[in-house]
Amino acid sequence: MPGVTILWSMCAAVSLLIAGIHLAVWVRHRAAKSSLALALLSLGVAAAAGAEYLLMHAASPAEFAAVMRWANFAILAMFVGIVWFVRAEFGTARLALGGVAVALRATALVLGYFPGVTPMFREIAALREVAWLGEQIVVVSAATPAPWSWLPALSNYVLALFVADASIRLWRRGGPDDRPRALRAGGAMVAFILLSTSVAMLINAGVLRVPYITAPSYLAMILMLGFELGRDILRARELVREVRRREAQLNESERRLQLAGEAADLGFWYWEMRTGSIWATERARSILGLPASGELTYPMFIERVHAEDRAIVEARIAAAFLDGSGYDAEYRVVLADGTPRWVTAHGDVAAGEDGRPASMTGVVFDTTERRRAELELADQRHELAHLSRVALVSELSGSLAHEINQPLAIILTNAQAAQRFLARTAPDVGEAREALADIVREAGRAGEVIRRLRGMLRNGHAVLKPVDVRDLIEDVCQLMRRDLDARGVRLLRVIADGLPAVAGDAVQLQQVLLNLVLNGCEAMEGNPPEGRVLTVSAARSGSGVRVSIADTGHGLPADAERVFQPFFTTKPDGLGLGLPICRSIVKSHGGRLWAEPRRPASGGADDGGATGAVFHLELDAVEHS
Amino acid sequence: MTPPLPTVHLLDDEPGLIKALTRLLKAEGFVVRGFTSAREFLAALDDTTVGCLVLDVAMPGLGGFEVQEHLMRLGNPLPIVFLTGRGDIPMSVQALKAGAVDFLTKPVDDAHLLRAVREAMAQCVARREQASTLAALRERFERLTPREREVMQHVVAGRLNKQIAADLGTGEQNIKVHRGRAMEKMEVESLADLVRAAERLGIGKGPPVV
Repeated sequence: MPGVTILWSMCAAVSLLIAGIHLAVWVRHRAAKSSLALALLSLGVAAAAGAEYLLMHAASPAEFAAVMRWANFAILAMFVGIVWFVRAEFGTARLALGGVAVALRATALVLGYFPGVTPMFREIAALREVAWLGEQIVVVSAATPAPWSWLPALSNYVLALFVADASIRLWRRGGPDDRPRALRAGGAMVAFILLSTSVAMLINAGVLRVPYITAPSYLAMILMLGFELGRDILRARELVREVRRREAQLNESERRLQLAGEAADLGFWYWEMRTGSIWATERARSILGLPASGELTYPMFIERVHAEDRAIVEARIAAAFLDGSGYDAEYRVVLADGTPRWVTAHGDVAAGEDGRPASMTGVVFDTTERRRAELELADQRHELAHLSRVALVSELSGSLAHEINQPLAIILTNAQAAQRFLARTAPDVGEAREALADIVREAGRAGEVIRRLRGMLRNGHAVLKPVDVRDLIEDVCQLMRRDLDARGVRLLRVIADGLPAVAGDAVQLQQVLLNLVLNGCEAMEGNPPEGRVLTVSAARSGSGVRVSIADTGHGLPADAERVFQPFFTTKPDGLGLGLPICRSIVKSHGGRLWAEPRRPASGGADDGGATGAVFHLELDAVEHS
Repeated sequence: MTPPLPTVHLLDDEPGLIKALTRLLKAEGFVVRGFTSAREFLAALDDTTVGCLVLDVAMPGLGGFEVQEHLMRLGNPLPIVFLTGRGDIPMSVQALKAGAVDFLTKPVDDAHLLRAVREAMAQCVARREQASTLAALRERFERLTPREREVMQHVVAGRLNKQIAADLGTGEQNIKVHRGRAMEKMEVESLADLVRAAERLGIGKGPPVV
């Protein structure tokens, strides 16, 4: 059984097959440089296998030497193949080191031509026939080693070092594929290079009397490397499958997003800066009043935006692209039939490869309904405020009736007195005139009461005008005078001089003060008559005016803020809406309303350490022209 | 010092109304004094005050009813006409029970007011007259000797001279003399007048006055 012939020809055939496969791979994918390198390496191995077979069947030492010289070209090709492969596949090779290995090997090859017969031997004296693997082959039996015979071995070691170095660096890089690859491919290469080198050295030294068997070990190496590359190809297929799967998933999640968008009535859009094209979901198109299909552009979009809002939308978008931040805008869109629609949009800018803003992704939703609801709510709040004013007035109606009745009584009496003066035989015109003057004055007063009352009941929207705080307090005290008297409340007024006017609606502010004064009075109902003191003070506070209403009543709950919660009340028949409405009125004036416990007056004679509450109302002053 | 003229006193916290009422009442010839607070009025009040009071019910501080009560405690019989902005029946009942002349609602018609004020003034005069008659009778009664008073009491009780003489253990002639002097001192002409004077003085009922 000619084992050597079978083994080495198989070796050459397999190597050629691998070379062919990887050459074919390279032809189809020119980028697959490692395939080309492996093809070159495999060709080298095939040639080396052929050379080894010839060496084992050499007829004379001269023939042996000739084959050996040719074999070195195959080995040089293998060197180049390995260096190239490592460089292409690992990406961590030190090319200089590989270059040195190739250069050493080339030097050995050249030296073998001139001073000696081969790079190994100066002279081959005799060959000996031996039986190996069931076949008669020849081996070198007597030869003179060349003084540079270490050179091929050195080149092998340098090559092994080059591969080992690249493998270690690949290992250190530590990617998920790097370490197994460094171990499998790098380890195989280093191991087989060292194995074949050692065997060759032992043969050269005459220790081993066997033929050169470089080719099988290198075949093992290329099988290993081929397997490595094949894995890559398999993985590539897997990747393709994975990509398809992910695409399907992406489609699914896009579909879900679409569903979620529909459920939330959201529209999605994506705007590519480079091409200027806008992609938008059906819903986004319909919200923005854009055609249901076809290409979309920025000018198409901006044309739909309400003329008054266009500038702000453009500015927001420009700002978002300028600093790569988010985009938020609430604007009106005018539909084709001219109806306006409120729209809220959010967008996020994404940077391109160069790090500069390249696109924007966002959502858009229709807020017309919400806006309408907000307006309705404001109307309702307004209505509620009006009702509470009506309630307040009815609470005051007794004293208001008195306020109107009083001037009427005076007018009637004066009128009848005047009639009597004029009915005399000698009419007293002077007295009658004086009575008439009083009638005029009292009629004016009655008119004033009615004006105030009408103001209180008016359901108009707030009109902000400069309001004099002193007049405001005076008006309220006038309206409340009777009530305060009836309740036995002593009212102290501490109004600073030279207070600036505040911006407000006098009627609404009156309502707030009336409420606060009434609350203060009611809080003191349980006090003995001498302990019912209400202090209304007004002073400058920062850029505005602070009006404080302090009572000596039962005080506030531990959490003073609670009194501003709707439906919080301490009165048996209270609605608990007075203070929340007061606060909303003050807020709409840009002011503040809050409560705190009253600090007992230092040495206060009549209230001692009594409790009580202070309500503070702060309003901005009007800029003086 | 001349005694004060009967005056209409006005008490209301509304100066405008005081002024108008003053004007109206003066046009009718009344002497008028206005006050805007109960304290001010009570301070000006003394024994010689005569006339009437036109009083507002609802006033800060001391109200109308309190002023009325106060006057009664002081024993001043100044008749009161109430004026109110919002009067109701219980309130007017209370006022009239406590002796008010009238209870008027603002705005008040001049005719009503004048009628009420005139009546109040008349009441005042009547009370005054009553008071002064009684004072005169008392003074006369003081002049009687204990014996004459004793005899007078028996006389107004309707007893005959003979019976009185027996009761007192003296002669009938004696009784006649005492009786004649008592009638003379009491300045009455007839037995009927004496009985009326005794009634006013509260004599004749209950135990004899000594």
